[in-house]
Amino acid sequence: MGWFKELFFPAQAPTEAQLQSGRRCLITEGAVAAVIYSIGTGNFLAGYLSCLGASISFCALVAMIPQLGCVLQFLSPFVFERIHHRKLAIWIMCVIYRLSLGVVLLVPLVVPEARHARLVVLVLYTISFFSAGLVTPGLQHMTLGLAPDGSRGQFFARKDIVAACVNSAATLLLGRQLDYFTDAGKTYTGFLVIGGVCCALAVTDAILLALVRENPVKFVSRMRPADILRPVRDPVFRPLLLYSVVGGLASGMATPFLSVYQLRVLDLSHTFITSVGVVSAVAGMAGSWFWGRCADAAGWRRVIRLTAAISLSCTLGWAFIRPGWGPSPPRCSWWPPPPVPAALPSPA
Amino acid sequence: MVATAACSGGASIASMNLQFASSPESGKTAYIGVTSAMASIAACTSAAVGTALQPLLQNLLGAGSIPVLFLLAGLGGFANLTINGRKLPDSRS
Repeated sequence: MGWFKELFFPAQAPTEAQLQSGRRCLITEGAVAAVIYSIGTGNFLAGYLSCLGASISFCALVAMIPQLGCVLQFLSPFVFERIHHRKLAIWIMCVIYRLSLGVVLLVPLVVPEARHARLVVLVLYTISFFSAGLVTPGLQHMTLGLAPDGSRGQFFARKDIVAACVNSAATLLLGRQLDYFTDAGKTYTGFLVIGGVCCALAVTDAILLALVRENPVKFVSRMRPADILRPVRDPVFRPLLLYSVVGGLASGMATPFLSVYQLRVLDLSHTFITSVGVVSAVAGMAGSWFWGRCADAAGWRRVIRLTAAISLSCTLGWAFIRPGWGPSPPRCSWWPPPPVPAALPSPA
Repeated sequence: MVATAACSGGASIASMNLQFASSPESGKTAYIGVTSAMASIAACTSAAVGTALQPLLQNLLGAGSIPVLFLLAGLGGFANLTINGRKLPDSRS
């Protein structure tokens, strides 16, 4: 038990060398976590659900569960604001979140009937992202606690760049192999391989997160339910809260439909989507570097305004794109949705 | 997709850091958590409306049902940026 206590409840405050090592682990862990998240959302999720015979609105319903899970962030402070060493609680919830996501893709192995498989996927996916919602503020706070003072922008930019590189390479490979299996008529096998990869990554992520040396919070509070209203009452913080809430209200209308729209209406292949994802990752890296510097020089508010204006223009742009504009010829018709199979074919 | 990706990292880091900088030392997790949760409740509510609306729009517009939702989301976002984006607190990293 000595190693367990040393890993999660060390008696000594961390040294600068340990904090530096923790930052490196956190950067690597962030990259692995990004790949797991990509597998569990976006075009992979929409394609997997389509293979299970799901309708467009069911795909959108499942795609909004990650947002629903974030609602649990209301409860998160009651857990994390009460404890000095938060790493074990964070670690357990991260394991539940990421391992469940991997298992979601393996459901056809044990539940052969498509209708039942969709229900099991819905339940597992909900457990996964509810756990994610609960842990996110704690994990963010732990990350922010490790970020070096005075150069937070650069630390987060580096973390983002590494995650984008690893994530784009991994999703490109996985997208290509999924299209390969799809073309060979073995779509379910493709998703099972991805599920196996996801589970292996979840174990790697758990090891990396365990190795991060937490910088324990100096202040431990005893939160009361009424404290939830503190950000609402805070006149400095309230505009930021209002902006986030109304922004969520607007984006929620279309966001869950984006991946299923790309796959089933625009008829884009996984390879095309993940290839654009690589270009996007390069743009994302350049963007993170640029916005990090911009924030260090001009403040976070300006970054929020500029990035929101560009992103919203892109959202509007999707409204004017028509099927057939994509460069890849449609390999199969997803519109109208394919008939629901009574039972899934053998994964072999 | 490329332009959105170029902005998304910066947007989320900026949002998180502005929340971190604008909240008191004693309740940072609460402030960040409550903001994210309230934004998520709003997003889920409108996503539920969108999910309910899409099959109805599909009967009227076919494959054009989803672009209408993108249009609504974009216009709503710009209205929010114009009205609430101007009042955000300022903070250096």
